Amino acid sequence: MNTSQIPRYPVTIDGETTQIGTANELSIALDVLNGQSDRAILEQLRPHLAEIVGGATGFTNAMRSLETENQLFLIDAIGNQLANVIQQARYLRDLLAALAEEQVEQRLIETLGTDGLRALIITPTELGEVLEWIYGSSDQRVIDLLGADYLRRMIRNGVDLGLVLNGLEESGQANLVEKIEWARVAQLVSNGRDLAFLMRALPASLSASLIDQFTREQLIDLIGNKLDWAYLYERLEPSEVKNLFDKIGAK
Amino acid sequence: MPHEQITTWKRDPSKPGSLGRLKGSKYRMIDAHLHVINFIQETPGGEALLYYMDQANIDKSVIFGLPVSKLWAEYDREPPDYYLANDSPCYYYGYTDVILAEMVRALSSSQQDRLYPLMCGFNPVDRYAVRHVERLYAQYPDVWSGIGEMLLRHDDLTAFTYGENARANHRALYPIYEFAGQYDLPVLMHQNVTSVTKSDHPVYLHELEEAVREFPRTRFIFAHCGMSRRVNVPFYYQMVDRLLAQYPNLCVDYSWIVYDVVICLNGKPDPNWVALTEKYSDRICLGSDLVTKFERLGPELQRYDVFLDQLSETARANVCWQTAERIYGGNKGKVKNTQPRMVPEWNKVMA
Repeated sequence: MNTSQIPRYPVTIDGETTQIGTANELSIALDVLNGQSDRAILEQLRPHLAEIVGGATGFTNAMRSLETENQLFLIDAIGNQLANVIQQARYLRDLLAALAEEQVEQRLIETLGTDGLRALIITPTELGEVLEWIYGSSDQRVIDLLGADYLRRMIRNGVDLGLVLNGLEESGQANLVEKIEWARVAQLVSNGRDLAFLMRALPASLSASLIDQFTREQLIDLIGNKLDWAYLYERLEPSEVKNLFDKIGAK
Repeated sequence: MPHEQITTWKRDPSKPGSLGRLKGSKYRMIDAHLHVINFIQETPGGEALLYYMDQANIDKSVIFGLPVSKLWAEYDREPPDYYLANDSPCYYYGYTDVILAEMVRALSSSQQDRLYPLMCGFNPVDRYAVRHVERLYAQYPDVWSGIGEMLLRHDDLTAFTYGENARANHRALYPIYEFAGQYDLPVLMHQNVTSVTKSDHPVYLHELEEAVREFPRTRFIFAHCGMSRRVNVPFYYQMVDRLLAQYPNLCVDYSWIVYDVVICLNGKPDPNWVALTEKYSDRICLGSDLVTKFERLGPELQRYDVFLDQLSETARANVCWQTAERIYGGNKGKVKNTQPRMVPEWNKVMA
């Protein structure tokens, strides 16, 4: 669309009026007012904010221009169109990386909700990268909102699960495994490398439970060859080595 | 040429704001320094440019691309969008001139008349560089109004760019200066006066002076008087005064941070710079030096008003309009339509 044909909406501050139709125009208007009229501008444009910010880049730039309270206002104003605005998981990741306030991250995640998060986060790599930039308990909230069924469908092998586990703190890792269930986790392990990836991603307290899912014979079958064994062994902590040796009866 | 993300002005919550700044300077002007293509070689396009020029009270603009492109390295998860976005290098990108030329040619004739496009997409340390200039003049003879902005000494960008350091007196540029001189074309150059780590004297100024001295028939424009972010030296206005006095073929533009750092520090015009501008107003023009963010044109040029208010009407008309018009106007089609200025043959001179 030609720049001159973009729909624009008037805002008036102290008797001066301008027309705003794009995220860049919004940002520059906020700037020339020296941050003193952010809320007034947002309130005047509220019904059109999703259209004005347009996409992920515009939304991220607008968020960067605003103080916390107005970031929350903008998220609320965009509401259920938020996933359409953010478009892809990598933009959600970049946005989360740029946000410093936990309450803004929380509001963003709650506003996206289950539908929004599922629309954006398609792969384990995307989920891992999003979780990497979420602070506090919000990462657990993302896992809860995505739901066990969705996670089971998304995570299809040990490497997938490892990618997601890497983005979580220990309590979150335990919660995720619990949600997926240990039996399902064990099914994700199809070779020594899968096992190594998961053992590396899990703390020793949880990796012991993983080993417990397998019989001695299953473990020998999984590890099965010199290369996988070397790969696995190099990635184990000493306590995990002892646990594994005990399980397979090695000395 | 500025850091795209570090602006010349930013929010100051202690001061009142006004949407009126979006309307630009109260003085109608030519923006004599505007990048319409960014570091990843994208442009919002000519129609957007003209829309925001109209919003910002700008009648004409001197426009150019960027001769370097930022590499999205294999190791970078996030794509960079400007040259300081991350540690990956930049490389010379000749197609920037084609993007610019096609952008201009897509506009109507009357719209094209409002733009003075310059060519910049050659490697300034390649002795074949002049062939690029000749080739582009042959391909788009009616587009170009001159050459620039050449990015020569440029602190971090120099460090990021593959190959030998570019500098104003590099011998690869001499054929280009000669070409420009033959056709009376202006050459706009970014050449830092010094290094970031050497702020007690201008260590790179001699490179500019050598080029300007070697090519007295070539018209040079010293972009933002040789200043860059973190690049400054004492006696700045005296230095610019001396250069303008010593080299009649040299002009300067006030653009980007030279205005905020020395000409009008903290929004107060320096009387020495006001006097210098009065003295050489026919050699000084004004520019935004924005990189594509055309929405910012209004406030970027409006900030000059406090300085322009201090000038005489004649000087103000010169820096807002006349100087840029004289430097860049009337150059389109010159290479195609005129004979190059040649040295008269000795035996004819002596006859």
